[in-house]
Amino acid sequence: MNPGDRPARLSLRRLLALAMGGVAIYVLALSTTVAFVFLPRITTLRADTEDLIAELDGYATESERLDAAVELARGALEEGDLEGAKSALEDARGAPGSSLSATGARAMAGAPLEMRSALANAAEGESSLRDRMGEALAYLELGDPERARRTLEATHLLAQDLVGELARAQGAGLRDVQRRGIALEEAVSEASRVFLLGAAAGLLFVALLAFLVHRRLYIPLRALDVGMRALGEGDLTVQLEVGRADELGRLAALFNRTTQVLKARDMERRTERKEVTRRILDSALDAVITIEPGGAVTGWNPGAEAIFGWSDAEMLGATLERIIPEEHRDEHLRGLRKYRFTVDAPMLNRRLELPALRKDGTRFTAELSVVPIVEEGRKVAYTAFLRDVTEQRRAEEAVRKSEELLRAIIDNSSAVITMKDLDLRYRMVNRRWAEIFGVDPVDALGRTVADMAAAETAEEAMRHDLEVLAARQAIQFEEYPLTPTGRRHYVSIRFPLLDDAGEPRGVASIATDVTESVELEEQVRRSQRLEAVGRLAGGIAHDFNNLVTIILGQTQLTLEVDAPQEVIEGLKEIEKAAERAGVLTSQLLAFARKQIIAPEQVDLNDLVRENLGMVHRVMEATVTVHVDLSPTVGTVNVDRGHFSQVMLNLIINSRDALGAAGGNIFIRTGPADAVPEELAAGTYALLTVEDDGPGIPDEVLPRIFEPFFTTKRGGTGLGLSTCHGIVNQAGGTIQAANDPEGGARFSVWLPLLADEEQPIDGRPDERRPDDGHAGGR
Amino acid sequence: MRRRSRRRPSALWRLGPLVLAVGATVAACDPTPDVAVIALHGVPPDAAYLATIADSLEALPHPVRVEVFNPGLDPLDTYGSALRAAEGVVALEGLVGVVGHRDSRSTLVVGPIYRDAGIPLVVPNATSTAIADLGPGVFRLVPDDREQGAFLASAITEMGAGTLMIFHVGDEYGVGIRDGLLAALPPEVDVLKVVEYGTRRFGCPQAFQPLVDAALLAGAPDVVVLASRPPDAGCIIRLVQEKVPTVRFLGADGVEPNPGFRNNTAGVTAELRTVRFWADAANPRIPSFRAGFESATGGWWDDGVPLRIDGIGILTEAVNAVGSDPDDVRGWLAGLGTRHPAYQGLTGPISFAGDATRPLYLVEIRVGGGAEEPE
Repeated sequence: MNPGDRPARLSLRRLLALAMGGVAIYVLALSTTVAFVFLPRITTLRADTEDLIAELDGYATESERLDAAVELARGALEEGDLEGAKSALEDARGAPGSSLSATGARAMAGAPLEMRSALANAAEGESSLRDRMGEALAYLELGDPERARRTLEATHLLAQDLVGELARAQGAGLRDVQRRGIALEEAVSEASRVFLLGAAAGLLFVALLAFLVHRRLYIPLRALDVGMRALGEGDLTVQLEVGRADELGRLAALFNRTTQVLKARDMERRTERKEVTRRILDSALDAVITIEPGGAVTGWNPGAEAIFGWSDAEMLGATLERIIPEEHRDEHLRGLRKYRFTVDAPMLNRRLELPALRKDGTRFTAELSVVPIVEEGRKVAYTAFLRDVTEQRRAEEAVRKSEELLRAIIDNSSAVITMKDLDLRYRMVNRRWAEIFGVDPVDALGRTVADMAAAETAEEAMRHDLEVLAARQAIQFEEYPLTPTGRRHYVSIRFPLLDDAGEPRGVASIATDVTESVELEEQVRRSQRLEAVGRLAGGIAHDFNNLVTIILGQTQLTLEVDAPQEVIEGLKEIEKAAERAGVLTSQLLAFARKQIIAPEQVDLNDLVRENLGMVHRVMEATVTVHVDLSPTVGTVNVDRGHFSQVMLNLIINSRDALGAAGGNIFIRTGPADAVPEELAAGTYALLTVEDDGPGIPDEVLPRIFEPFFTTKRGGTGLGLSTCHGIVNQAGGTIQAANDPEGGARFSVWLPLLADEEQPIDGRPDERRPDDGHAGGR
Repeated sequence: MRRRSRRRPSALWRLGPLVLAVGATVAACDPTPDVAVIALHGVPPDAAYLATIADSLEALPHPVRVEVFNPGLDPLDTYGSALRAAEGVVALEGLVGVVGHRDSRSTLVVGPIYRDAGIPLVVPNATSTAIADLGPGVFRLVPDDREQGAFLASAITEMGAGTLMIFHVGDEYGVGIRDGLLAALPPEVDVLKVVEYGTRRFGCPQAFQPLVDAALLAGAPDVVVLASRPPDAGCIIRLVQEKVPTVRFLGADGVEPNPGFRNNTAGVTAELRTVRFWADAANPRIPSFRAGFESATGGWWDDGVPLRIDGIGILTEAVNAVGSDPDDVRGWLAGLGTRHPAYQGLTGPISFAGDATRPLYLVEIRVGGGAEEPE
């Protein structure tokens, strides 16, 4: 039962709270009465008293003033001062409207009864006083001081009467105030008595009410509450004592009838439920086994018979040892004993996998769950659900192995393989990806390519991913990511990962690094092009050289004939042209490696040193040549003349690259640590000519060794191609590259002679080159 | 003074339209009502007259009985007797209203008793402005001092007086009339003297001789205004007339030719005009009523009788309209002229609407003779 469902309890505490609430309301009413009834009356009484005193003080002052004026007038008359007496009387009478009749009229309306009477009489007295003063004044005006004096004598008595009336009025007023005060006190006292009696009566009433409520209402309702809760918890046997014929008694009887009806229906429902349960168990494919707390089997369904081979007749009353492999039986029995003593059953309400034994002795893996059957709060039996999961586990193992295999393939692939979700966050990266980006595969999960790659690279990858997701089909891309090892060239296949509904749930990528292979292809292509051009040029040059030879020979023969001067001049021009053609042909043949060469075994450093004089002759003053020759470079087999031509061409090329501003040229020799793949296996010497100029433009670099390709005004385009042909003919190769720190570098690899080929005492080998080196093909 | 015939008309006839109107209005009221009591501060002739119509009043749908009371005069405690009388009145069983008291001061003194008891007080002829302060349960039938003072001032202007002398009694009445007059008097009128005298000045001529003689030292006035009780007024007229034969007199409402006045003016011929709250010409029912009244009282009459009878009339009509609860009666009276039509009394329509005014009349009194018709 939830706390919110708890029935309201009419407890003694609540009754007390109710009573306290009543008392609080009572006190509030009392306070309100005091605040709004008695306090205003007290305030009014106080204000009235103050007003009364002030009013009467004014009247007394006025009467005293009149009396004093009369005395003053009398004194003046005694002294014969008629004008003084008149003045005193006129001043005392004052202006019309200053009399008590005028000022007291309104005051009388609010004065107490007796005081009103006294004030009215006082007004009469004052009127008489003023009347006599007026009469005396009249006598004075008429020049009869004696009658005025007699009038004033009587007037003095009237003034005393007036004072007496005012005193009576004051006394009456004070008595009224006193009476009102007493009345107020009595009212407060009476109210206090009434309130106290009311409080006592109220408490008595509340106590009586509480007693009656407790006896007539709370106890029967409590019994009903207990019964309802018991009913709510499933106890259909609860019955209440009826005992009374009132509404609560009828309610108790109704409750009893209700529980009886519910009990009957419950019995019917249980019977129906048992039948349904039996049918379900009989039709279940799983084994459903019921055992009593002692371990004896009390239920064995057809599914159990099918799985284990034991019939229900064989198993009912038996224990489960026969379906438990022998090595597990002791454990089972220990668990059973422990449960009996400690009621500790860790296997309850869980799914377990255990080995099980069939009747035929075969074993299988069973998935087991055991639940208790509780009746009236006690575990009366246990139901075990078993299922043969051998095949299922076998399939799961196969899937796991398949996944491992796939994972191994992916991880060991040279391709970069990734999977991302729709937010383009990595869900899988293979080992190759991790190697390239230097990130642990686990760290990559949940991150995007923007978190790990350069902005340009990330933007390209994400754009391709979004393109694939939009197209919902695989797309091949050429990509050039910037990796920690530099810019790479990839061919990637990106394809969407679709769910069963065909909706994209991610994107996968398989990318292959083709940087090296593309470069290699380019080199091969370039090499083949040079080879073809060289072959063509060689063939043409050979035939052309024969023709030039004929032209030159015939021209020289003709010059020996006596001929007109004009003819001789023409023939000389023909001879010059033929000689230039011969030089050109010689260069073409050198490029085509078809020159006749005379190779010598010579120390490479010596060769360099031999040509340094020529180098300095062609060098500008603004250029400094640095020479660094390795003492261990070794001996090469080259044509000295051709080598000089190679070195001269390279030096002039560097000089021209430096331009008018000048710079530095470095000439170095040494054994080659690494050699281009196009060279045959062996050891090579390396000669480099390097400058610190602007370097070679990227678009020029691939074609720099092509014949007739030049960027110089007036150049033939045969200088570097001649170098290429000469070095190749010597069994080496030449490459041009830009230095990352600036400038261009030409590297010449020349095969070193083996030790046994080294000349004694360092002299060059006198051997002649073979036909392959001699060219002429 | 003309004598009226002494017929004895029936009581129903005497109250005439009042009783008929009330009977017609409330004919369907409670068939067994209690008797409502109305107290009247009157004189013994009032009681004699009311006795003649008592049966008719008790025969109304809501019977009414009128109790006449008179505190009398105690020279040592004039107003104590009035208070005791009022306390006796409010103790009357079935009291629904009071008509009274005699003058402004008495009314001011006893008014709070009726106010505190919740009894409506109909004031027939007291004029003090302070009466309005007694509260909403007081209903005055005549204009107050301020209005009367202004009325007297306009009369003085019409009389073409250049000099003026005022004689007034020193109570709320006299002081109130004096102040009202002085406030409204045009500046061109020269007030030679204002003479205030006491309420206990008795004896003519010796009581007033020095006052008059001394006042006339200020000069001979064209007009003398009197806010005095009738004997005092008669005495002053006599004394002034002797010294200034051309003087004319103007009296406030209290100056009426009662026996005391006539005694003091015996042998004097003077021109006197006085203020009245009704006039025969304007209130044609009064002469016949007066005849009946005098018949019932052996010839008694004073000019306050029609106002007192009107006071009883409006209370009777109120009782028969709303019953005998004083609160209801007070509410009905407050609505007279607004929620209900004005009461058609002997002295004319009576209304307590906020803007309602009652007329004032100026009548010429033939000194030594009776009242004349209004001017």
